[in-house]
Amino acid sequence: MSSIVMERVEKKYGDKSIIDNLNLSIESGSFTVLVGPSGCGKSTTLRMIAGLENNTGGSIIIGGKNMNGVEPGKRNLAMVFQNYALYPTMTVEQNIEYGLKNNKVPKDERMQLIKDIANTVGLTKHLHKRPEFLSGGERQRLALARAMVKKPAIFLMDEPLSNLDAKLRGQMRSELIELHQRLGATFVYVTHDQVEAMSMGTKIVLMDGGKIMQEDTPRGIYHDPQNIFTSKFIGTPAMNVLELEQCDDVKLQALAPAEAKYVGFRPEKVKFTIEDEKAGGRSQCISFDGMLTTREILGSEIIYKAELGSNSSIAIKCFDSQERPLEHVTVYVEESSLVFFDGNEQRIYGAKRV
Amino acid sequence: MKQDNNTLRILPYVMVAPAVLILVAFYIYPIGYNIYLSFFSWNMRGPMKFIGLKNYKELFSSSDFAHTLMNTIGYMVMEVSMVLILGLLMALFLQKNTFINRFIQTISFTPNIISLVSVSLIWMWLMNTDKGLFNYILSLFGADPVGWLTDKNVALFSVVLVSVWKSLGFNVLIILSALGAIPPYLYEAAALDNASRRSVFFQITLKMISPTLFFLILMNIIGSFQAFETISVMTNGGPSNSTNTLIYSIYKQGFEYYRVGYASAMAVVLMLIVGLITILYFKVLNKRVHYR
Amino acid sequence: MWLRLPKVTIRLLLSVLLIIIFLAPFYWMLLTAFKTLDEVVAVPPKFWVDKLQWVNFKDAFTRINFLHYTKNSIIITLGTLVGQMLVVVPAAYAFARYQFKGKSLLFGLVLATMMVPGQLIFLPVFVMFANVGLLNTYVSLIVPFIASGMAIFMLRQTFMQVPDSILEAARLDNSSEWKIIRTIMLPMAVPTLSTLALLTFIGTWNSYFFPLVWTTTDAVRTLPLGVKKLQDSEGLNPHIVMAGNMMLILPILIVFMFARKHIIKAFTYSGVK
Repeated sequence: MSSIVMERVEKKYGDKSIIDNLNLSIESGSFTVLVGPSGCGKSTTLRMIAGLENNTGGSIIIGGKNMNGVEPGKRNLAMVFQNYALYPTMTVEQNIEYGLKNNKVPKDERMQLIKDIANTVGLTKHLHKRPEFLSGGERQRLALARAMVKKPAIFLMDEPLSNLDAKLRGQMRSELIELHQRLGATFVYVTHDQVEAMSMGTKIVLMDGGKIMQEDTPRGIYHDPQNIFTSKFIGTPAMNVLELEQCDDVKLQALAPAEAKYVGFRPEKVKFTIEDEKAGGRSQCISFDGMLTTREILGSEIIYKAELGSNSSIAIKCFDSQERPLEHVTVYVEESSLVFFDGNEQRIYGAKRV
Repeated sequence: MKQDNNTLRILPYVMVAPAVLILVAFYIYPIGYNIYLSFFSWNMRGPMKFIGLKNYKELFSSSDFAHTLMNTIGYMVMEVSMVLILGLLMALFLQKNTFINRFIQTISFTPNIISLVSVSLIWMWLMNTDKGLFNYILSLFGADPVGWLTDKNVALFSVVLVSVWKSLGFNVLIILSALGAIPPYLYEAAALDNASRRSVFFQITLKMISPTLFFLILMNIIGSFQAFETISVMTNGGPSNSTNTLIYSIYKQGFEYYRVGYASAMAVVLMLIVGLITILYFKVLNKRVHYR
Repeated sequence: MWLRLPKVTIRLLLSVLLIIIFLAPFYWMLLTAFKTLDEVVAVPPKFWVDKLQWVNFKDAFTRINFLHYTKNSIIITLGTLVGQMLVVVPAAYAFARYQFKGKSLLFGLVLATMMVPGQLIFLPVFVMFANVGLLNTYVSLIVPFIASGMAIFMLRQTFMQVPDSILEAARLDNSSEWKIIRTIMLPMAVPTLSTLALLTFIGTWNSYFFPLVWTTTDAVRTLPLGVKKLQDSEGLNPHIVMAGNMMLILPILIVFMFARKHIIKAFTYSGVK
């Protein structure tokens, strides 16, 4: 049992409230990603789970046991830090051994565990080196080994890939996914990178300003955003969100629920032509007139920016191989792709899903 | 250790207490005690007699004190200017990282780590009027022997020379590390701007190391006020008081003539001078020397 | 002709000159220490000796109580080194890692002592020692030097530079506070500690002023004072004085030979801060 439940958790530094009334439950065996912009409280949340920060209110329950006031070392969890936090004066072997020693694991067993884990992460050759002589990827693997060797029920990871170059990061991402599947432990992973969140998480917790904005599967969080913040945070380019007042499409105005203030649609849902063969055709679409101003060719797709008359602009993601000239165009969005938000930037359900 | 709150509250004080107490007892408190003593007439044995500012009055009307003060200032000016100028020249000369330069840097640093007593003894022998190597070399050129430590017009310079020989290597080391810290792109930019060597030196090199030079000036000034070993070993303040500096004079007044109050008054004056120079240093530092 | 000398030659000449300036005095000491009195006073002086006069060292050794001064030097140097570690390490650690009331005031006090020119206040401290009967004791020559503002400052910097995450990792590895200090913090501070130890060793071994002004008898006086005494009594025998002087310098030179780079780094650090 290694579920984590946070009930009405709050964290204050002096008078400053960082996290207020946070309720979150992380299922045993899940790969939960806490994602959000910097300062959103995701790291603080992770550190409270670890016990490195004390929650000033509420309770954190791990595996059914209330952990308030329990030392970090006694919570049966391991953490991988952003800068790896390897002990610089110890060899690879000693780094891995340190936690085992503190937990009074007998020497023979320690040696066997170290041997196994070094084998697993491919550090056998480097056991007697100090961390400064390891490459970035090797340090990363050492940090993982140090966490894994304790066989914890919960792995906490605080942006562990952000110090790696792009290529290595991609590789480590798939290694982490495999690792999670193999160990079956609970992973809680903090990142500000939505790509990392989407690619690894079985569940994504999007946070902002100390609050949870949405808790969902990667699929749900992308296709079913509950608020403008989520719709804009997840997806590149971000979802186009326009104020209804500034749109002159009559059909749109008619479609919008009464309390709606904003309309949103994903850039890849914007079409330059209407596919007539599809049922409905023009009658099922709304249209915008605009001027294409920029064009980014990304290979498989091209991203255009279109200035609309109403002093706003939208992004268009297009999978045509042909580049379009930057000229005046009319673009179309199917009604079924539209989402509406109210004045509080909350999603209005009732209209169809994106 | 449990995160016991009471332990954690007291622990930091327990940890800093020995250090803080020692520093207060031997650095802070004695300053006050020194000022206190300077208002008394006392020979260390008999009773202390409060005499107000009399020690200071005597001090400022004493021609011996004026002479000592002049010696101290002369010592300081000679020492600081020689160390800084020679140090800068030598550092520039040794800037390139070659074997011979590293060798010279190492040997020039060696005097700095051995005791000033040793250095003084070596130079005392070199400077011996009758049998010393220096006067022998002078005689090869047909020059008359110099009374390095016995001629009252030369002795102060000789003492300074020894001190310069000892501390030059350290100053070279610090200037070299400042020179090495100048980012190379500044020189590259200057080269692209077609700057002359002269202007590169004055506009870039000298300006960039000026905070370091400034710091060394302060250190050497304060050091020169505390110069004791050379004088104690080589001249005992003589001949005819020509090397009698303030710090040596304090020592003599205190331990040879047992005039504790008078010596303390001198120490107060010297401390004021050092304090003023330090304050001035930070004032100017805040205003001017900032290139980072 | 002189002006025509190529740059390389001028450089070489200057280099040779500098080498002579800094090595010749040492050579002269070495040479004198191995000469007979006749050789010492010979005109013209001899720049080489045919037979090494080891007896000079024996003479230096016996004419002052060399062992006594050496013993005092060793006790005071070791005492200062050990005492400094015991006093400075906890203080620096607390200043670096704990929050407590009055911390900045106390630390400011520590920093302020770096500005105090210690030699100027020897007299009041002498009186203090006299009043409590500590004159001519090892304590009086050790205790004032085991707390050093600069040492606390340097070490505090080192402790502060240890990333928090490393300590947190250790806590997650179930390590106690004391164990973290012992197994992680102290090993990471070893370079700074050895820098401090070198500076303290050199400073204490060479110290002449305080052992002179804070003592009235030979009881705890150190080797530099002993060698100075040798000069006072044997001034007419430079070969014996130089032999004694060499024995004073030797320990420092040996340490310098083995830790040359480290010592130079230490002094650079102390000079630029």
